Amino acid sequence: MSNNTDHHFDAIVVGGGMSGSFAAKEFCDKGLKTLVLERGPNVEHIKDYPTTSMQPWEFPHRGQIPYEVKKNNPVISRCYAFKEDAMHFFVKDTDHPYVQDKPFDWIRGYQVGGRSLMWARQVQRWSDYDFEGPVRDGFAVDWPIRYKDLEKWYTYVEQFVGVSGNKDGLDSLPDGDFLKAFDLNCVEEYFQQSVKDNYKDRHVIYGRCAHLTENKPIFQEQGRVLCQSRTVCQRGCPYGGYFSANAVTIPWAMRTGNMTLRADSVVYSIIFDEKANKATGVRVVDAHTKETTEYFADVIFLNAGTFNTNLLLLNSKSERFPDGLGNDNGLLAKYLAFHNYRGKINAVHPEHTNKRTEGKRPTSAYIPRFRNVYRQETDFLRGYASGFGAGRYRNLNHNGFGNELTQNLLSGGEFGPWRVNSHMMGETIPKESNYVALDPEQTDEWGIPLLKVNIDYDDNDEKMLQDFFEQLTDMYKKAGFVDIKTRDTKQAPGLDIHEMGGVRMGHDPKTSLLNKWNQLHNCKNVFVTDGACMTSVSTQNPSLTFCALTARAANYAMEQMKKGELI
Amino acid sequence: MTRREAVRNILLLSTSAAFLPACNFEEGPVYANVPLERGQRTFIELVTNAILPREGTEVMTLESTTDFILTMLNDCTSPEDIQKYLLGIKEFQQGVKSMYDTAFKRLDAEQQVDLFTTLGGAESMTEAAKHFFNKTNGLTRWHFTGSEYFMKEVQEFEFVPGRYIGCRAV
Repeated sequence: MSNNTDHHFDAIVVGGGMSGSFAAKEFCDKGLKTLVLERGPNVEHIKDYPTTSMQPWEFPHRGQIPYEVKKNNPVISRCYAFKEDAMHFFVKDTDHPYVQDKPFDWIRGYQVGGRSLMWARQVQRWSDYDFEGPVRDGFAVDWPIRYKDLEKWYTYVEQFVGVSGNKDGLDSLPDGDFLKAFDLNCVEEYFQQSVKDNYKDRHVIYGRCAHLTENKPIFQEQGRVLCQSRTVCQRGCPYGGYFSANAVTIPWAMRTGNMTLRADSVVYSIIFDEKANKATGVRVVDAHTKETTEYFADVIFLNAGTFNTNLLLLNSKSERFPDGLGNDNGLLAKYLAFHNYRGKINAVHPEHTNKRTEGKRPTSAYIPRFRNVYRQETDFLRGYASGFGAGRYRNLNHNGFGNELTQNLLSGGEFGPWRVNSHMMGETIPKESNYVALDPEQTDEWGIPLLKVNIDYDDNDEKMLQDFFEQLTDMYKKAGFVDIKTRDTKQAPGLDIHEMGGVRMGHDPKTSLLNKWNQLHNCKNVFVTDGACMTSVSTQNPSLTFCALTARAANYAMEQMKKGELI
Repeated sequence: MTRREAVRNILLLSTSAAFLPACNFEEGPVYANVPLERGQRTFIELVTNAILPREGTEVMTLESTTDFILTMLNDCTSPEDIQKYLLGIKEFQQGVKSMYDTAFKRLDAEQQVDLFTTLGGAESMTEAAKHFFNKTNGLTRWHFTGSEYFMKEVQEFEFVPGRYIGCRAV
């Protein structure tokens, strides 16, 4: 493990975002010379957060996106976080086109740190009710791991990133190593009690989130301080109050002296050595000059983001693998899935009129999946988790014109009623018909085929959506909420920003691409530990699981390298 | 990119070509997508002041309400809606002339408020005239309620609260 020449490394990590930066940290901590390749520009912690300290009134458009930008970029303009304050961190449709065989809103962040800069920071563990879903319900393939395989890695990641939460004692959503939680507010606690009183297996808990609420030596070592409750996280946090690759793992790995970070480096393909029967490196195109370079390493981790990892493997063709690296069974880039976020339900809570909240909070309440957990009980497979929040705001008095209006506004108005809201996070079933592929004719400006996306909802998703409306309406009514309104956003897949699969893990090389250590069955020194590796998607926000899988796989890879297995 | 550079870039974007020569007669900053004729900027200012007078208040803003309106029109509005707005300025002025037999600026404060209150049903006001008024009205209120003074002093806005208290008395 002494490769350190310009183009030779011990490990190459493709992608400097959430999971890639975690792989880099693991390798660098253990002394491996590691090359991290990121297709976008560098974003240095604090220095490159240009809007982080801007007040609302300092934005010329008060958060709005200019007309021309919206008109030319309809996909990214539908993303909830694509606003004036953070638009520079999102990929514009026009800069990186793709082909939508079916509507799919592909939300991307091409920069060092990737989408970890703008993520929603919700982190829940999976349980065996999730890992055993495919084999119990007869879809996809059996996961080759169970909760016990990942448990210590969840803890390992949580201790490093900092997760605030409560120990809720739920077998469907295992507890972790948590920092103290922010408050639930009075109406969220009221709803929590109402659900507890009315349902046996339904729970309202605090939404565990990757924010620092306690000081610990590890966080001081990372140079982070407590979350300041600004709730402008998508701009990048100068306090390091939430976990991002930019604030934590990238600078951590850099401080070891073992990481070489190459931004603006588009990985074209993986180089496969047929004689050695392993990958030897990657071909990289400079994002600006378009010059091609090759880099070599003993082990390669793919963390380019679900779709781009699929794209990279598909584009890595050789005589041995004419249909893409590792793709002997023809299943690469198939069985993709996502989270169904179409359902929303809002209502008014007429009580607690003498109460309000103060300050801000980067999370809300969370309702873990309660459908089909212990047994199949509906005419659709799987279920949904739900976010839940309650808030109360002043209604300004906008009546009148002239001096009357001025005085009405300056009076500050009166508090309106509590408003409650919930949104679904439904598990979709991975299917062969949900796939991505290389466009046979069109390429991007780096000569890489454009990605064609063919992903859609199905009847299971429609039934689940209706069940969400029915069940949440029932829960709301039992709590005495009124003016209940349900809404199907009809949004295309992708806007959930939880696309997963295509390079799934499994026991059998005939039906899966990766083994239980995230290694390609047929090319052992290539590992996939981003969302592409997911066999199924469950309902939890997935980043924590990606990081836990990454840390586990990286340490396994290093053990194998010590034994001379991968070298 | 530093914060200073970012603010500068956003401002440059927001008023792109603001200082390019324009084929109209309006003086002052020019918004390339909103070709105002002479006197129209002053007229917009007159209407915003009538909708929401700020004299005697402590509300200070980084830009004038008129510049905020023109920035939002220039940068965040479709060409069709901008044309409708520009047409609306003229038709609003004609509507006032038809209703009051005088110019808007000659109406007293009470008449101006009366005009605004009844404008929705006024036959003399065309669709474009109502569009001009509704847009100006909405942006005027937004600019006022989004100002530093209003957010901090009236709405108790804190940029860095450092806390969340889930339940306290109103």
